Amino acid sequence: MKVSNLYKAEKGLIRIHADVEDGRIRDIRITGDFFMTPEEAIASLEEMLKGRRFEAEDVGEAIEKFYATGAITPMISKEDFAKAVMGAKDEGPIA
Amino acid sequence: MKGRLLNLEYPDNPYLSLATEEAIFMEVMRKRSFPTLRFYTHRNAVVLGCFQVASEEVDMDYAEEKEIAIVKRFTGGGAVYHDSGNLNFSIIANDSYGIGINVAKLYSMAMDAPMNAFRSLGMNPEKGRLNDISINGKKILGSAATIRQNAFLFHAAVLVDTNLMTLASVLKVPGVKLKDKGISTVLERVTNIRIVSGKGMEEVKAALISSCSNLLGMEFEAGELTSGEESLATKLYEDKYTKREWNLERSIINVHY
Repeated sequence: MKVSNLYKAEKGLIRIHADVEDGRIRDIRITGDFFMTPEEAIASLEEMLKGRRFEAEDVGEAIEKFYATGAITPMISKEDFAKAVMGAKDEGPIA
Repeated sequence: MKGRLLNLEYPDNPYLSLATEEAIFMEVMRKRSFPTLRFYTHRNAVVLGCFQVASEEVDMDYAEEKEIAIVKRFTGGGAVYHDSGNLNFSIIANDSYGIGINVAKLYSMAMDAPMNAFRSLGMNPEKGRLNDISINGKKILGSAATIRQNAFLFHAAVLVDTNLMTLASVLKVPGVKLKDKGISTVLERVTNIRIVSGKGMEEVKAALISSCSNLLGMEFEAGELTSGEESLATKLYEDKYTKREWNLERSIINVHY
């Protein structure tokens, strides 16, 4: 099931495109006009989310783990990424 | 401290222009190049932030019709439209300003350069929350920055005399379904320095050189690209900046240098 979300943080926009199978995130791509250093870290954020259950708790845990690697996202919080990802659930499958 | 002033542009090759930008950053980081203030323009290009996907930000049909190049930069942030009326400048230096890895601190320091420059030209700039500047509530500058090891790069696009109609037509406004609505929304939000102050390219550039010099405590001397930067730029151009997956998709391409 393909899902997507467009999330507006206080400053910046996060777009989520995910493929969810049996309640787990099979694939996910995060795009948008936010900042993240180091930039390459976006790939590890996606990797950490893959295979997780598509539930707030699991997603939050993966994001927590991601920030522990030292990545910095000015004006965008952990919660923003968590809300962006989980928001895709409320948006429902793409027709 | 001695700095290099680099008037280096490839107006019709924004891919090489941005490959060169990354090459300079890498060489400054490795302390092989002087801290640099670079000025450049592009004739007709959309420059995307590195986490963006072209089709989500750009009216692709319009871009094709108007032969607007679509090129990715290696920093984050939003899409901008560059024509000859848009002045780009970059500050690339090693950190002796106590920034560390604090990107927010880098913005707050570096944004003073254009803020002071615009004030010195008699304008009344308003700083946004992180990386943009407006005048009378309309945006005239957007910037992006990054930090790697002990070096930083801050680059900004200044709307001096850009074709705002083209800008508004080629950039999509997220969540806005109607094209006309999108164009009017953008036109309400941006303006040109030429419109608000009558100042032009050369005046803005001179003011920026002086404000950067004061802010960074640097004497700028006109210089050229080093041979190391040149060969690295060529490699980045070939292996990354001319690749479709880099420019249009959201791929990470690691070039080994």
